[in-house]
Amino acid sequence: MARYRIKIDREKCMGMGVCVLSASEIFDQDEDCKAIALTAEFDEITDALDEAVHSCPTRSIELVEKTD
Amino acid sequence: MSNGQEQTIEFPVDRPSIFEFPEIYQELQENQPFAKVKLKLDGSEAWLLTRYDDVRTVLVDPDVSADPTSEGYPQITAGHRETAKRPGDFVYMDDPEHHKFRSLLTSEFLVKNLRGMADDIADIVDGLAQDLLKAESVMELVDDFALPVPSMVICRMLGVSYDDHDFIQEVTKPRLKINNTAEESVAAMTALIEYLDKVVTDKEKNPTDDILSRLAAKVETGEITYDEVVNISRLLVSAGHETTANLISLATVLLLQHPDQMAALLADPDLAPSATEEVLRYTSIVHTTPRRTALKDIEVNGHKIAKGEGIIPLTAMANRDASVFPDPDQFDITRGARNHLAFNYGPHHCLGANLARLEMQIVMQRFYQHFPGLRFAKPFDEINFKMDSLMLGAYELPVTWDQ
Repeated sequence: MARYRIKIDREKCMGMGVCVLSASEIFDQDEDCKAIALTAEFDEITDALDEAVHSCPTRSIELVEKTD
Repeated sequence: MSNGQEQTIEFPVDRPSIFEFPEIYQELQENQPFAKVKLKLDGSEAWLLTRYDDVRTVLVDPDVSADPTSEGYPQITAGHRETAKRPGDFVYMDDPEHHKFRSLLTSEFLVKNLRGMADDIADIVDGLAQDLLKAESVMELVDDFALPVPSMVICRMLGVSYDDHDFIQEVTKPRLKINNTAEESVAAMTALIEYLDKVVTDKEKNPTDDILSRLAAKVETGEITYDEVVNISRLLVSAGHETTANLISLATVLLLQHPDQMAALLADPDLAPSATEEVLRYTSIVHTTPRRTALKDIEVNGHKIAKGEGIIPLTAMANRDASVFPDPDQFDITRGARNHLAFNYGPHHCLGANLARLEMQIVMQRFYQHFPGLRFAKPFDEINFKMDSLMLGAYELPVTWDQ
C-alpha cells in the first residue's frame, strides 16, 4: 500500500498553478482553477512532488503519511 | 555589526550597484534576521526580515495585512501613501476581499489557458528581431525590444490598442519612482484612469475577445462595479508593462556579463526555462516590497511582532539566502531553482507569474539566436540603471552585434 497521500485544501488554493509548473504529471487545475491531484497516492516523494508541496504560495498542499 | 551596538538603518538603503545588495542587508541576514529599521519617508519604524524562512512565514500569516490603511503599514513613497487603496485595488486588500476580486481573473493567467499565446509571443519576438536586423547595427534594447514585447502581449490580452503604448508607458512611470511626489503620482494615475474609463465603456458597448471585455461584462451580472473594473484594468496595464521589460533588459545585461552562460544558452535553448528562473531569482527586481503590518500580536519563528507594527519581509534578500540557494551571489542559469520568491509568496503571489515566465522563456530561447556576437555598445559602468525605482531595470541598453 502506498505510503503518502496528497491532500489539497480547496478553500486555501487560489489557483496559482505553481504545483502544475513543478509537477505537471501529478497536478492539474479543474474548472474552478483549483488544484487537483491526477495521482493521489505515492510510495516515495520525488523531487518534483517535494517542490510542488513546498513551493505552493498558499500552502494548500499537504503530504499525509499513511499510518496503516 | 556587533551585539548591543545598535545603529539606525534607514530604509530603503541605496544599492552599491544594480545586482548588489547593500552590505548592511547582508549583515542583518547573517546576524540580525529581525531588525528594526527607520523608514526614510516619514521616520516611522518597521521590522526588516531578510531570511527566506522568516519571509515566507510572514507572507502566509493570515494575521498579517497588505492593506496600506492598516495601522503601522510601512509606506516608502509619498505617491503611494496618497493613493492607497482605490476600489478593486486587490493588491492592497486582505482575504477574503482580495480573493474575491482575484478569482475573477485567475483563469485568464492559467498555464493551460496561456498556451495559446506562446506562438503569438514567439512571432512578436522574432518579428522585432528581424526588423532590428534589417534596420540597424546598434539597437537601444530597452525601447526597441524589452518594452515592446510585454507591451504588445498585454495590450493584445487586455484588448487595449498598442498604438497607445507611448501614453501608457508615460503614465505608468512616475509611480515607480521611489522619490515621486504625491502630485506626480496622483496626476499620472488620474490620466491612466481617465483613459481606461473610456476603454472600459467601449468594451461594455462593443465586447471583444479579451480580458477587459470579459471583466466589463461582470458589471452587468453584479459581480463587480464599474469603478472596480477600471481600477483593476489599471493594475493589469501597469503590471503587464514594466515588470517583464525590466527583466528582459537585466537578463541581457547578465548574459553579456557572463559570456560562458550566453554561449551555453545559445548552444542549448532548452536551458531557457531554467535561465528564466535564475534571472528572476538573481535580479529580484521588486527590491523594496512586499510591505505588511501585524493585525494582532504574532510570533514569527519565535520572534514576537506586536499588533500595529510594520513589517518588510524582503523577498529580494530571501532570494540570496545561502541556506536555500548555495553560493547565492553566483548567477548560474543551470541552477533552475523555482522556489525563489521573485513573484512574492502567500495569497499575493503574482497573478501574472505564468505569463511573465512564458514571455521570458520565449525571449531567452529565441531572441539572442538572432544576434551573433551580441555585446554592449557602451561600457557597463556608463549604463543608466533604474536605481531610483521601486522596480530595478535599465533606462537604456545600447547593444551591437556582428554584422
